[in-house]
Amino acid sequence: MFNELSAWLKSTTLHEFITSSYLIFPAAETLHFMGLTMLVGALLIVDLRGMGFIKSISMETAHKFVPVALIAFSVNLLTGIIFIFADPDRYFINIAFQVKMLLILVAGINALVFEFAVFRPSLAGRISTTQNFLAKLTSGTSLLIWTCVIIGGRLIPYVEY
Amino acid sequence: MIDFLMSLEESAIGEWVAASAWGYAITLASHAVGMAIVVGLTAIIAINILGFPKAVKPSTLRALAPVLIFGLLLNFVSGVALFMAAASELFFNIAFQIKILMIIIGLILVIYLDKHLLKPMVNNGSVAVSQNHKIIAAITLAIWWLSVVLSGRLIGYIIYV
Repeated sequence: MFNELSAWLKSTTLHEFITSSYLIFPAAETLHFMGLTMLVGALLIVDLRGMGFIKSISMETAHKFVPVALIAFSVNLLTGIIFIFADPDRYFINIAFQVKMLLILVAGINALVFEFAVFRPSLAGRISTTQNFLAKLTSGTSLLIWTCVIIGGRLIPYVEY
Repeated sequence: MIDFLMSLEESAIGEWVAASAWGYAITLASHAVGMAIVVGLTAIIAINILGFPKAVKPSTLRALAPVLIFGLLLNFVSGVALFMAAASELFFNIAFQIKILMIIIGLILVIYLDKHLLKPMVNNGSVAVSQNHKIIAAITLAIWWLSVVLSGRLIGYIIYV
């Protein structure tokens, strides 16, 4: 399946465009790093507060950084797509990349659980002990997953051969 | 100087990072996590001073100082270990020199913003963000992003080109 997908990606105009320039890949890498830092910065505030730290920042205030995290994630998603279009063979077979993608999927599901099972009910004034526990669990899980995502991303070039 | 740099490379830490199977990967992964924490939180503080999200007062983000210091320590320790592994190359690498200079300038600007804006805001609620604060925040953001991230990425390219 990956072979067909890889062949198709390499036949696209986007692949040709990206690989025809020496600037696009390093520029995308730089943007990917910028997006990563913004994403981590915003998530640190939301997740540390969710875990019960930095109590001088209210949960509602911390949650205002979620749009920053979403914008940063969008930048990383777009630049990540550029990497895959540039060299799909390199990524699809790479174990660090596969683990990273799986972790991002889990992080997304975890974020949805936090948003709909913890944050929104607590905003509506329905706070229970279970939700408090769930807030700590989902926030801690988020920090752990994103730390592993960073490590996975950084290790991609080192587990190629 | 070159003898000193070579002695760093031949030290137990230098050889562990450079030659062991996991030494470089673990140290590099730690450096990436530390970088994401430091640049992420600094960037979040800077964009907050610039006015986003509007509902959050920059002084509230002072609560993140211990996390920022943890990130700095992680970056410093892993950065020194990475330097020891390739001291004789990195010391003369222009991208590395720019990166270190930018980190020092970036730290001075963060301390300046804390001393002249965030701390006074905590002590006196009527202190507001001025145009000068915004300019310094924008410069801080540019330095951490464009210089540290960019030059950090370029170190590899300049060593091996």
